[in-house]
Amino acid sequence: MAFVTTKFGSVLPYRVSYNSNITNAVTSNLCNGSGTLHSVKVVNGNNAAVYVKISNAFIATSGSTSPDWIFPCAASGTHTFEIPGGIAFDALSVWATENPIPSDNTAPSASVAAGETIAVTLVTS
Amino acid sequence: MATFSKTALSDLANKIVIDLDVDTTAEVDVTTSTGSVYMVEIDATAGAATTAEPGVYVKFIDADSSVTGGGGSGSTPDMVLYAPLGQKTTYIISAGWAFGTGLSLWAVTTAPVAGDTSPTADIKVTILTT
Repeated sequence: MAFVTTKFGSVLPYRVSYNSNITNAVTSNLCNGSGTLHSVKVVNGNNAAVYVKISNAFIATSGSTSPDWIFPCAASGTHTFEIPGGIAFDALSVWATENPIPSDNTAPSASVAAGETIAVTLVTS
Repeated sequence: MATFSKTALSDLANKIVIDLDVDTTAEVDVTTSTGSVYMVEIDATAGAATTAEPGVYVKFIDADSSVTGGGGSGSTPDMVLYAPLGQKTTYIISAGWAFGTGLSLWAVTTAPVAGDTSPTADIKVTILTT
């Protein structure tokens, strides 16, 4: 699935980017440029761990780009990684794999048919 | 710099682990038990961001032995948290990231597993865990 990004309104600078089932397909330049990363929520409906990888770059390649962040989430787990104050980025590229090593390009084994989706929500500004 | 920890009475996260100058040499099994990480504060205020060294990568692995830290035979981290130099960055992990074997960590200036360059300035890492 692709990310869907929604702003809170015209007054607040915050944006929510949601992917209902992230895969190893990289979403490049998610925020159309620079910003600040405030939180990453991972809802792992799969029966295996997942590693959400984020690169501070306009483009990235799963399996070869070394991500700037690796956020793990255990099987059937939910984690929100909150970053008070946020971290500035030039661009965000996001993907997920089943193993933590940057050279891994294994798609998460979640089965949409079995309801094993991996949802990721990013809050940026 | 070796880490030290303090255990407080609590049903929740009850250990504070502090490493005053985390670097590419791994600190292994810093809580000497299994547990969950609820908060990581990376104090990089002793350094200043430069083009060559804009930030630090603090890397964590769920292992209690054979952790090599950075370098060509470096361990593969389970979690990588980036922090820009010159400021404090805090990560709060709801529900906690569970480590079933042991909590080990190291820090380098580049993202790849083989990254082996320690931060120039002292980086203080504080971990709230169980």
